[in-house]
Amino acid sequence: MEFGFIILLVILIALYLMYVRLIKLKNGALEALSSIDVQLKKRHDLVPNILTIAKKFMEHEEAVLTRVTQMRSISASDYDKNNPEEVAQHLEAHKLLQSAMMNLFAVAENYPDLKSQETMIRAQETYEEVEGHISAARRFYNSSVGDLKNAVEIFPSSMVAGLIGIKAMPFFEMDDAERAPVNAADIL
Amino acid sequence: MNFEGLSEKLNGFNRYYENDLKPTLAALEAKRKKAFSNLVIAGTVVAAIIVALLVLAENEDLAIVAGLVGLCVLGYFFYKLSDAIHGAKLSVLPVVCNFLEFDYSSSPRVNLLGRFRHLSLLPSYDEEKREDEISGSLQEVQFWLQEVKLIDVDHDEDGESRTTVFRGLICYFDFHKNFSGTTIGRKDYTALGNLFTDVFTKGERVKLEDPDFERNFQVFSNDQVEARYLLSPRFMERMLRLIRVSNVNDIQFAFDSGKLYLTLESSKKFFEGGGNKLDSRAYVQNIINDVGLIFDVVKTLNLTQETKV
Repeated sequence: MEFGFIILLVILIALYLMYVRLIKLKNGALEALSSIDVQLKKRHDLVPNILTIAKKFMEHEEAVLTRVTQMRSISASDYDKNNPEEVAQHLEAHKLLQSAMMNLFAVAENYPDLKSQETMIRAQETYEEVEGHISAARRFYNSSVGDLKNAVEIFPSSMVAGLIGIKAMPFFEMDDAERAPVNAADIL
Repeated sequence: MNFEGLSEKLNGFNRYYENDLKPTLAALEAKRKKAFSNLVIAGTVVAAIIVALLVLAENEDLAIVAGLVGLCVLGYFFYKLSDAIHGAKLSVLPVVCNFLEFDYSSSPRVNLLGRFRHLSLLPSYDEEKREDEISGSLQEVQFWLQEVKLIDVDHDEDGESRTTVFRGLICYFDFHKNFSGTTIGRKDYTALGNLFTDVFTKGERVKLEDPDFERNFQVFSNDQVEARYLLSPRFMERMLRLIRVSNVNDIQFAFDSGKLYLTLESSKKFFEGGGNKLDSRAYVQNIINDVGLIFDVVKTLNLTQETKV
């Protein structure tokens, strides 16, 4: 009888510890997601300034500019942080915005007057810095999500996660454009 | 052997060496040799007198007096020997720094040990020895560097024991990224050692993706995102490269107040010419190589570039 009680107590304690760990990991991932949102908001706020400068010189690139505006608008939509699918959509929208911005900068290369504009140079520098912070926030988020994913998928904590409804969150993968080889001369 | 390879600012150093430095170092080497032979002779004579007094005259009191006098004589010749070695260093290092437009002081003016201790980059200690302070700007990167030896003194029933807990360089460099928090990279002492050292390091543990980097450093920060912003994948690679090129035993680092703080631990004494003869070219080259460590840090860590990666 006593032995059975001790085993039951040990199991309950183990379950509680797994529960605490899962909640901590979930909160850690949510905190990391908030860190990303802070950085994404900086980029979101920076886009109109860049567009205003670019419009003066890129009158014939309406499609490029419109795409940026559309992506910015989509990425600003509200989402439920506890819903992995909505989180994935939110992150995907920001990836598309980043892709549209990269396209804008690539096209801007054809406009030397725009490239040499002091305000554009400063805006681009600020944008690069914000991108650096987004990249750092993404690494923090992916690290937190990786820990959560392991706990949610590996037995026995997967069992507890199923009982209390904790799901793994999506990774924030980098774009193909970001993965592309960088120009060594820009870095070295 | 060409002394001018490190920087174009050293152009003309070869000529300076031949015309001015070489004769000075030759005179100091002669002084060192003379002081060394005097030390050996004095040591032998003192030992012979003490033995004679103890064995032949059986006079212990006189032997003790002779021993004390002998110690003074040996101390005098040892001082002469050190003086020649120190003189050689002071003939070379300030000139090299002057060529490179760095400031040099043989007796340090600034004490930043407290700052490095606060950043958990140095162990606790009881005694400190600081010398050779170099500061200035290299390719517009401001830096400061000092050679330090820290000693821990323990007292127990067997008496006093002294342990060197740190020997090497402490330095800081201006860092090109904007940041406001504190990020510390400490030597990885493996799982058991880290359990003890983690307690004394400020901030939360930052787990990074680079396994090589994780094998070498334990990173702590009060801002997880900023830590990753500073320690970008490329910067981690550069830090690992610095370990390879710098030829020191251990490197620890911290980002704080807009600066990159580094401790470079090494068993060797810096700026002493590597134990070569004072009038040899290798002696001068070794001192230049030690100064070259500043160039290694700036170049390897790419501190000059306004890059965001």
